[in-house]
This record gives sequence, structure tokens and C-alpha cells, in this order.
Amino acid sequence: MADLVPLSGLQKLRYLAISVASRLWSLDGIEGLTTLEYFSAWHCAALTSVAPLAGLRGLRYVFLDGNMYKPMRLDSLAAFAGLGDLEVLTLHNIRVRDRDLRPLHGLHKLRRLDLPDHFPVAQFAALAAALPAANGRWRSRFQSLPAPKNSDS
Amino acid sequence: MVRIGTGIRDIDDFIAARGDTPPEATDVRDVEPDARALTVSSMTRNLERLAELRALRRLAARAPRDETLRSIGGAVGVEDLALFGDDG
Repeated sequence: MADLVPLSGLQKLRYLAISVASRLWSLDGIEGLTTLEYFSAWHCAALTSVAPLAGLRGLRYVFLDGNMYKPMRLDSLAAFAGLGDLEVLTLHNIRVRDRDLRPLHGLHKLRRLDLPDHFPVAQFAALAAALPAANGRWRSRFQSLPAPKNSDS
Repeated sequence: MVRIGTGIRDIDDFIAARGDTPPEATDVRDVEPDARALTVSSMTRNLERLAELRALRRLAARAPRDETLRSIGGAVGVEDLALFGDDG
């Protein structure tokens, strides 16, 4: 299973869960599944892009996971920026190359958000301000970090 | 019956809420035409007949090969699909 093109005709699909697919390197084919509300890819470390999710405006739950020994490496989180109905987003064992959380700032329906640690503190702070209702361990990690030293003092 | 556990609370809660995986078929020809839920694998015979199961709404597949995915793609009424593992 290298991509999801064979599934592109499933026009009534609301829930798609993929587990332990070490050779799934592309989500191509998912972009036409516009009825999708839930998508999870667990232990799918070969994925390098979630861009095909960008147009799936009905998504409410997304779970992405690489694995403990080989994280999923994404270029950015830009694909999530337009998914305004997202309520739960979990990114587990993920690395994001541009380390930019701004694509998530407009996801005001998020009530649960789990993120890896590998973003700058300023990114977490800006996200916390943008999404005051989005709970997750990332928020407690951010709040427990020491305040940045003031360079003027 | 098999229930996977990811160790990620939100995912596991969601999976648990959906219940166990559906019964496994060894031959799609033997499945009742009004079946609403089914598990298949690459060992299941006559997978191309999934498209004939018009009532099918929930489908799980173990270790699906490319041809398994093509057959699943013909089951156009499916609303809920779980794919477990790849073909190694």
C-alpha cells in the first residue's frame, strides 16, 4: 500500500483509520473523499506530506503518528490551515521541518490538540494566545518553561 | 475479536467507542447480501465481489495488498474503513 488512490471512489466515507502501514508514503487519493470526518494514520512513518488533506473541510478528528524510532517528517502544517471544523488534532512522533505553528492559529473549534515539543517557545506562546480553548499537554509544557530572559536587563 | 491499542488516549478512546472489529470473511461469496460490516484480508477469496454488497457500511482489512485496496475501492457504500498493517 503506497498511496490511497484505489480508495478515491469511496464517496460516502466518513471514517478512515490506517494502522502500521510502513510503506504508505503518500496520501494521494484521499483528496476526493470530501465526506471524511475522521482520519488517522498510526505508525505510518513513511508519510512526508499531508497536503492532500487540505481540501477536506469536513474533517473533525485527525491523528497522525510516525513511530517511536522513526518519526513522520512533514515539511509544514500548512495543510491544516483551512480545516476550520477540526475539533481534535494529534501529532505524535512527528517532526515539522519549518517549525511553524501559525497554520493552526485559525482552528478555533479545536478543543484537543497534541503537539510534539520541537517548536520554538515563541511559537507555542503565539498558539496559546490564538487558541485559548485548545487543551493538551503542549500547553502545560509551554507554561512550565522558564520565562525567556529579557535581553535588556 | 481484535481491538488495537495505540497508547494515544484520544485515539484509543475513539476506537473503543466504535466497538470490536467486524466478523472476518474467508470468502465474500459466502457473505449475506445484506451484511453491513465485514473484515477481510488478502487471504479472503472473491474480494472483487465486495462491490456487490450494497448494504456494506463498515469494512476492516488486515494487511491489504494493492489488489485488496482496489477491491475495497469498489465498495462504494462504505462509510467506515480501517486498514491494519501493510503487506510486509
